[in-house]
Amino acid sequence: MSETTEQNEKQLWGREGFRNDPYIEAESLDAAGDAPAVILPLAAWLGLDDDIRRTSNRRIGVMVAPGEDIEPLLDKLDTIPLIALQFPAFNDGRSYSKAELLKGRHGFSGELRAVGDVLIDQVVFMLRAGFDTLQVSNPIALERLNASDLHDTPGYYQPGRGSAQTAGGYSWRRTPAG
Amino acid sequence: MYRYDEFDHAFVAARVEQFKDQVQRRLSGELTEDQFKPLRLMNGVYLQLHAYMLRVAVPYGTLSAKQMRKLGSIARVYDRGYGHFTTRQNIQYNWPALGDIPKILDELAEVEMHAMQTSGNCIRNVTADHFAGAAADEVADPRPFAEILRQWSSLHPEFSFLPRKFKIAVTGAEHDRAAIQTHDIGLHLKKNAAGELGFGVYIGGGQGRTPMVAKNIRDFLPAEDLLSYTTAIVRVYNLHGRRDNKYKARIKILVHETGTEELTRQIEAEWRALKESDLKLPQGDINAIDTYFRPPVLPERPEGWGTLAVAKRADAGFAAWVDQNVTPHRHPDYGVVTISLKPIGGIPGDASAEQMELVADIAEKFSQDEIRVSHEQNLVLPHVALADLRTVYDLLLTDGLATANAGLITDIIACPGLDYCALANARSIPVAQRISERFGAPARQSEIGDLKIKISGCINACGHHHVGHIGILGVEKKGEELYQITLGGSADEITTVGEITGRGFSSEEVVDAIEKIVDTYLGLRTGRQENFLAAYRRVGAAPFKEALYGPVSRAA
Amino acid sequence: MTIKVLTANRLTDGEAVWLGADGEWRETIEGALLARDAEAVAALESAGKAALGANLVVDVNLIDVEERGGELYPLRLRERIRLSGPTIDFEPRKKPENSAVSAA
Repeated sequence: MSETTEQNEKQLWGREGFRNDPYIEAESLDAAGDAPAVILPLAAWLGLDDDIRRTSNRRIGVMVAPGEDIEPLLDKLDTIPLIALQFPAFNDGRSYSKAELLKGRHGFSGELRAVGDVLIDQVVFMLRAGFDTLQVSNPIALERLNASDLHDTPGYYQPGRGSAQTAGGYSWRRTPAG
Repeated sequence: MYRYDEFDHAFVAARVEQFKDQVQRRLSGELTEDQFKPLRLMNGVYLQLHAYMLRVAVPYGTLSAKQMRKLGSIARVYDRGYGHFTTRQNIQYNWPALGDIPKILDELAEVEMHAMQTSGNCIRNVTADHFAGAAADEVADPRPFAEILRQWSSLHPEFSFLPRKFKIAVTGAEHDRAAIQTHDIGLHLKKNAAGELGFGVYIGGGQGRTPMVAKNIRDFLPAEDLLSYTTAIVRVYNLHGRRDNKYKARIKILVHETGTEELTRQIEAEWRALKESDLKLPQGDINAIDTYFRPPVLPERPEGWGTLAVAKRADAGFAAWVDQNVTPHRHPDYGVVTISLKPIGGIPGDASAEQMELVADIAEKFSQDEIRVSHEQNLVLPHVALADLRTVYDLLLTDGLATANAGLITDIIACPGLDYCALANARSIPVAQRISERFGAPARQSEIGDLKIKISGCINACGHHHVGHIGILGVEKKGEELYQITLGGSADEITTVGEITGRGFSSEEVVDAIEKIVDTYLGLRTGRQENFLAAYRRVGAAPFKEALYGPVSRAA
Repeated sequence: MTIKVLTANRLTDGEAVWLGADGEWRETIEGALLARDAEAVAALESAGKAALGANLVVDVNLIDVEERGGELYPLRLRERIRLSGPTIDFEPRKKPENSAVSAA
């Protein structure tokens, strides 16, 4: 494998490191062949019959673009194995707020995935907003994640996932958990 | 004032290390400019016409002598011996080399300062009344809450990539010196009937190409809800603010297009879900931050009343300076001194390294070690005993810092304009200088009275021209600089956006045009007590337009 | 067509520089490589791209100039200011003899 293709390949990363990705992205269930885990666009996912979604023996995740509303998903969260929130460009920050709402407010317990323009300088923000996994293809991000160099700070000034309140500290401050 | 604890020191140090690494990788070629640009902007580094520019935050405008000395030393060691104080309580260095900037950030960290979030689409440096903690008319000091907001907004994981920049200002007095109604969020700290602290909340103010006055969406928000309510506002904005057009991306456009009532409903709904969250401020934490801002213990200095009166009678120059640049302190034996950075014919907001050091020395000896930076591009000594005013004045005189023009026609706000700025279309500073020279005679300025002239070199309005009593906007037309004039703007508790008079004026004509406006005002005011803005509000634009364009005015 | 020259800011210190006829980036427009036809403009553009790629300069731009009295004169005010620096006396003055107050 040449270095270039290796760098451009999408890899899945979570707090524990790189991992295999069982999911494929497809426009519809039919288009997904017999893949055991598939991510559908929001409209296709919402178009599925509730029964199919519940009884299917495959995992059916959903992809949400920044301009799309997560509201229609909220009463179905317990049936969704994965929600992928898009970052078409690193500076489109809408998916951070959706991550916060899904994980913090609505208790989504499935996999929350960041896809798109995932760069090393945003990794900590994404984890703290509630993302479990990141789909990474940027070479510098891959290199730094490989070296476990997250560009983290020793403390945070806001509540966020993966952090704990400091003993005796101000209520808004946190330090990385464990 | 606030002091960093270990948590803050470690946080800032980590950020400086990160940036050091990024600069190194840029200089070695590992990072391209496209990759580096967002990283440098997060640390306040711009590329301007002649060099890089570093914008350093002065949170809510408060500095110690040690910090000011450091700002002066950085100007001398890494720059060309001066810095520029901006309309958002920042200081800008115009000539740093890229490789030196991490060292500058190291030196700033030594004195508990940084350049984080002075650029980018994030929550910017939180600004406050520059007389906070000293002014006689203050209900409560807004700075503890500005500090809480500063901390909470630092590298906020959810709010670092907003549709556009986001500016918050806080004031603690009825008379608004912080221009809160021109901010994305304006907070008016006040007390309710029970004596509890809370905020009047304004959203959607802003300048730029679509100036808007902020809307009051809450009369009294309890202090403990500050972070939850701010989070609700910024979250609704982050999710729904426009991202298709950068000129329509500020929250003011969302307010305008959604409607204040509907947007307020969305914010309140979001807030109800957040109100009892971890963001609720415990009174103990408010108190702990408040402790840092306890007013200094000021010894009684009643002898100042007599000595000041004598000194004023003996020296008309000193008397004029006291009358113009000293405002009442809550302690009757003290005054709040405005140090004008607007010498006649000078560059608004610029200060040399020596001037910064002199101000630091004076603050240490005569102002409880405190200095403020105002959004009007002046410096402030907040706690000077009346008995010490003469000494302070004499010291300021030694380096051109005693110009008696605070609030007068020569106390001009001007952005750097085309002399420095990569975005500018026309120059601002030379226009400010010529106006200053035209009206610089003390008797003439005093006769004209309170008059705020504000000049921007492009529609981004860093020079706040929309809210100048007289505003000047520089544009480029057929390769020439052209200046449009607006009248009747104001950024205090009654905020208004100025109205354009008509066709613009060339660089040669513009000072004469300003003089015509001023002469027209002098001719129609009911008396000295009716200042320019009051007169304009009474008579409207017509007499001024006629003076500028003749009787068959374009307004007809 | 108007004459074009290539300008940029140096990576290390941000100083304004112009591409010289000798292929070096210089701190003055004097001796700049002039493009008078489309082919020469294309050559300037590719030189700019190369310098950007080599991380020598940033913010590369082609600008219009005229020859006036044997000197190159940028047509836009912005470019003239980039060339000669701020039009104001920006370097701090030493302590003045007279105070600002009495000077008026």
